[in-house]
Amino acid sequence: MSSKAKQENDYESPAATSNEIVTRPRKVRRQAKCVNTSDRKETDFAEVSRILQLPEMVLLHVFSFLPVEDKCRSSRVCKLFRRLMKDPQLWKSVDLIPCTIRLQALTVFTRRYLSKSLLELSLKGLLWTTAKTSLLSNSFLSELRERCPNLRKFVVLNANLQDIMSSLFPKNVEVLRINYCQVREGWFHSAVEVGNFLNIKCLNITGCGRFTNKDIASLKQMKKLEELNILGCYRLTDQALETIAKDHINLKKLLIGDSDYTNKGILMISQSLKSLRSFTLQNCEFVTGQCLNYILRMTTLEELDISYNPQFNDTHVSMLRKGLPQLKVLRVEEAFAPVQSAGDVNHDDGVQ
Amino acid sequence: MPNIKLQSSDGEVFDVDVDVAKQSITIKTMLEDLGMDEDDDEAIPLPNVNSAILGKVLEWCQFHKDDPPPPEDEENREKRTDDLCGFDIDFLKVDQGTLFELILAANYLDIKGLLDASCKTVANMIKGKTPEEIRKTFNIKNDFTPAEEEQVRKENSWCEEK
Repeated sequence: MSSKAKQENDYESPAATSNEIVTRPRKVRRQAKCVNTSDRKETDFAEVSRILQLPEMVLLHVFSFLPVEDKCRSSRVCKLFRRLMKDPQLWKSVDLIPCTIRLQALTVFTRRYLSKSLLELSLKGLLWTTAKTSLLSNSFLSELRERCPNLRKFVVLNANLQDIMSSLFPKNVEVLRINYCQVREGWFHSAVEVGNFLNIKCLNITGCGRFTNKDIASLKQMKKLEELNILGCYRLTDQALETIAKDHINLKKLLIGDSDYTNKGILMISQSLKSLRSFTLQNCEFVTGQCLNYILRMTTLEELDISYNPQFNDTHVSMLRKGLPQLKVLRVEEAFAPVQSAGDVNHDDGVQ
Repeated sequence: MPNIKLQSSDGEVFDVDVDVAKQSITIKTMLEDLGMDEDDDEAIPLPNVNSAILGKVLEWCQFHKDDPPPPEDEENREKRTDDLCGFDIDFLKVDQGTLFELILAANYLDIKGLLDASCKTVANMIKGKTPEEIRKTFNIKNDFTPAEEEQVRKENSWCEEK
């Protein structure tokens, strides 16, 4: 759109300046053009007053619908936009995931826009790509803690956290997502030691393969934990489930999978997590049909996902549908599509 | 259905279903504060809205009269602009002058749904554009000095690098 407008402009200006020798018809045309532009100027003027004369509150409301990148870019439009774009109410929930920002730019951005108003921040690094730049540093995290003490939700994807101290992470977060990040074994320890993360209600460490049973043990202090997602943490074993069953009896939602858990682990979970509403058990080749008997004891379940376990058949599925009184959603996706009954019992089965 | 009368700035009187009009919190509060009777003959004056815009606003309210009330706690959420319903998209395909007048009217009359929809439409006109394209779209003058411009560019340069 703009390039077209630009072209028009480029076209117009030489025509306006370079025509020394003018033939008649051309002159007429030029005149017509002049009338045209002055017409346009009048409407231009009217429209200028319109958007810039909207009350500031209303302009802020418009800006509140813009993604981060567009907010930053728009602050280059004019002085008014630039001033309004710094308003803290525009920076409560900041999602930088689509931008894959790097450390240096992130620091500049944080200093310019983020403050006490920030409640949610999501970041994505360049780990698992060829880029050699980092997303976070310890000094950046210290600064973030200082500037944004009210951060409640922090999401970090694809970042190398090996040299990042968890004790410097935002202290009071209630929701923490660290997904597909490179970590060290025992990473949580330094945070827990200094009383960090005590307010976490929802913890998601999907795809961080370095976490071990020892890390799960350091979560003990998170007394408020209600949701835990450890999918894709393939080093964890039944011992981790035992720890969870012991330390987090108030869990409402638990997602486990992609590891060598056995029926024994599921049994321990089913015996002690009496408030569990949502349970996911994906891709665990060592659990057998027998573990479904344990799942049937989790009578508070409203949501169940047993996808990617080819050992469970249709009989098992219908047994679960009948046996769990509160169940509203049963999800059974298959890793390797085969079986004939595609739309029947499987796939996002809403139990009515 | 009980009706009320609304009078636009240029004197036109609109006869409207109370439930349709009450989507405007401003009108709702006026009705409550004034203790106006439904069969009252007096028209409520709306000095900030002309008849053309009031007509459009009421058309919008008529279509949306059975909508559930907007959720309260969405303030801190990341906001979306791709969730406008088909009616709103077509309804807001108007020239910029009308669009901004609708925004002002929705703001004055306190109709959250219409204010959100119209502001989202403007946001969509900004999205994905360069600063120069935004200036063109809204006929905004670049009032930065070259030095300031360089400074603002630096502050936000990360969104240009890909």
